[in-house]
Amino acid sequence: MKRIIKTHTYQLMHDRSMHLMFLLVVFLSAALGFFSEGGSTDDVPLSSCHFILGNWNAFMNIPYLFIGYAVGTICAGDFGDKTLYIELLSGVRRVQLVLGRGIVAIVYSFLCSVVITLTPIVVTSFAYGWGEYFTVQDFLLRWVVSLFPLLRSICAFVMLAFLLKNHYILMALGFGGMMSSIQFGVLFSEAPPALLSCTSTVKLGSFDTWQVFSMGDEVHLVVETAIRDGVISSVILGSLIASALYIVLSCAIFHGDDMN
Amino acid sequence: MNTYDTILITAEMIAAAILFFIAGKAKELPNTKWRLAYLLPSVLCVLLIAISGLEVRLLPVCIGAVIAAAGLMKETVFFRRIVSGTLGALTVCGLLLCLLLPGYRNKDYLADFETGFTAMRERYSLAEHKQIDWDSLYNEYRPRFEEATRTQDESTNTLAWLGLCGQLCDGHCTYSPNGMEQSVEYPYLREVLGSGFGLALLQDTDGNAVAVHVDPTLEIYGIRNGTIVTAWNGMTPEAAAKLSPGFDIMTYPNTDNAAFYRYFLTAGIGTEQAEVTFLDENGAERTVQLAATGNYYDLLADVKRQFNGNSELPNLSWQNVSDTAACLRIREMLWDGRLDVKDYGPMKAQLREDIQKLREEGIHDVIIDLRGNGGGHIPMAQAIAELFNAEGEYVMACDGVWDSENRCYRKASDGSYEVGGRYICHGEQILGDGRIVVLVSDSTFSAAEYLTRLLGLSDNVTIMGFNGTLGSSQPMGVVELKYGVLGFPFTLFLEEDGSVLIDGDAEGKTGIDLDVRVPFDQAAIHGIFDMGEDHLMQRAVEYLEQAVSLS
Repeated sequence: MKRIIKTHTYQLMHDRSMHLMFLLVVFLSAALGFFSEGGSTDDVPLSSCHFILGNWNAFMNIPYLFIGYAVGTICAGDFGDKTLYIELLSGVRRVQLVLGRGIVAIVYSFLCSVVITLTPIVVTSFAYGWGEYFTVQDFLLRWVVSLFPLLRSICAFVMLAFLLKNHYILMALGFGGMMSSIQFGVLFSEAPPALLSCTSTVKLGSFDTWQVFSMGDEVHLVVETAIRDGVISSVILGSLIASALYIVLSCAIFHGDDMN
Repeated sequence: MNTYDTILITAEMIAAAILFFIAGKAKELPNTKWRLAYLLPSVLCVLLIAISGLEVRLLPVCIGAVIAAAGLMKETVFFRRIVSGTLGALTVCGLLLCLLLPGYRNKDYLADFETGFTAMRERYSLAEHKQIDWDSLYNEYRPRFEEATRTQDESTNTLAWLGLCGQLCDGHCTYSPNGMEQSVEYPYLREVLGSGFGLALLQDTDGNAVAVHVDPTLEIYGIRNGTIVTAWNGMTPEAAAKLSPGFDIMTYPNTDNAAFYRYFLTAGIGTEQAEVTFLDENGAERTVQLAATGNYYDLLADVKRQFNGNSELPNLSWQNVSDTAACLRIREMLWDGRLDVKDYGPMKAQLREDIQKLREEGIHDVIIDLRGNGGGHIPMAQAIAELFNAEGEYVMACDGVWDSENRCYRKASDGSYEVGGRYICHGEQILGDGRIVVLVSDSTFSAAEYLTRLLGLSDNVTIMGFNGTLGSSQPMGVVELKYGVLGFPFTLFLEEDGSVLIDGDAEGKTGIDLDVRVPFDQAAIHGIFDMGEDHLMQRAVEYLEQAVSLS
């Protein structure tokens, strides 16, 4: 399995299209931060806080575009040219094959997702300043917790890769995931936060806000940064359990699967 | 049962049957794809729970779906039939639990209360001004929401919210259950106030509980409009009023108004009969038994209508009330029923034109009738005040200074609030030497109180009424709860000296004083409730005529 991991890591380091795709998504993410109006108005200038309040779901879902591509290429790319079957014939166990590819895909996609989700925050902070509605620590807490649902999604993509065996479909699913996660998150507003990764992300991005205003046009937005008891633990626990389940299912699906 | 739960149970039952069948079929037609079918119950379960939310009683169904997924791993017919059967059995268990165990998809009114109360505690901008004791309110009202959750009674929940809002003595503190208008208190109060006995009680100028809006059939007992009632069901009228379920809901920010309506709920106490003690024509106490008749809330609404002049004139309409005076009726602070008007220039132009015509007809005084005006858009109040106020500058209101760090309005060292932006309006004195009387009642509130206050700053204006304005003017914010919408002020507008604008404080003192308090005496009661007169309007006309003769 170590050999598979090393092989794929080496392959990743030299995969120009993968680098290009990563840069493209990072650029897209940066552009979202730079050109977004957040919830700003003429009286309330844009800041990182504003951007986070208005675009949480957007920038937390952009990584799906890359995850679909990366996981598809790493886990399902070798189905197309039958390389994977040669590996099997050379005596590699199926579970090693799944885990070897899966671990590389998960670690690589996860690290890239971290960069992609942080990019717009860094861009808006440098361009417009942080803002006053909440502290960096408040944001970091929610962001770190929301990486767990992202990990869960990556594992789900790994499972889908071994189920569908087609990296093009994975890429399409990544694009679809980016486009539809927000809608699903809103549609499933009644669901427990930990049930799905989209409900977790939406819940973590829901800041309770209220306003006080002046008799003129001045508005002071007050943001409640506290997260309800149990949300953090349930999201982390739910995500880890689901991630493990997806990996087990990946192995189960690939185990004894037809090779045609 | 919830539609999605029904779909889930039906779908899982069908899935269990299909998977049971597939177990054998997969043996006959070997294909690894059959395995994927065993994931179907889990996918269905997650999707439907995501849509409808988790119900603990459906947990066996979820467990069944997870067990069924094991069919993906072990491909023997026996094992797959066992997991399919288990799914079916657990789904039936889930169905039975939903049907037989009480508390299926219960509404958690208590959680809603905790959310709403926390928001109130943190955001209510007048909490300090009114010296609200949050802990005591929490301890008093929490059991009512516990009861609402236990009994699953929406009415108990709504009445508890209305009671809690009532305890803040703020007309801008409201609660509406989902799908109902803001005036929700009406249907609920109508229900809980129950039957009346053909009369209502108000406090007259001497502090007596006097009968008003008396049903003519009570004449046989010697009870008529103006009769002094000394006891109700053997209790003092005030003690009886405290037994009313509406007592904590119908509250007043202004102590004068609270006193005026001290006995307002008394005559609704009793079920089939009420024992009423009153003073007869000779001043002797008599006790009679009255039978219940009609809805008490409707009767109270009629009393308020008559008390407010019973005018059916449309908003911003004129009516000549004497040879030299006309009345401008402003029913609401909305022009064309809109809250988003940016420019009140056309409205002012129309009023200028109207006044010009009236002046050509010999009208030089104006009565502005704001009774029953529940407010609307503050800029409209400013626009009207600018027309009528004497020439000069008037401070309409000042902003409080918001402290973002501490999430509260900043205070100066002397304990008053720090004053931010000042908002000025300029009087046009359109009536020249003409005088203005503003008629108000306790139903004059919110933006109408801004107008009353602004007009009151002019020397040519007299504010007149039986009782003062409500005393609630801070703009309202809303908190959306799961089962309703809670509204209360988040923002704070101030006087120039840093005191709170208009709203009643802990002692029930509001920022608007009457210039002329018309006595609510036997003459007024007789005029309003026997003759159907607009007694206050008549006094206003007399007042203006006296002013003319004195000048």
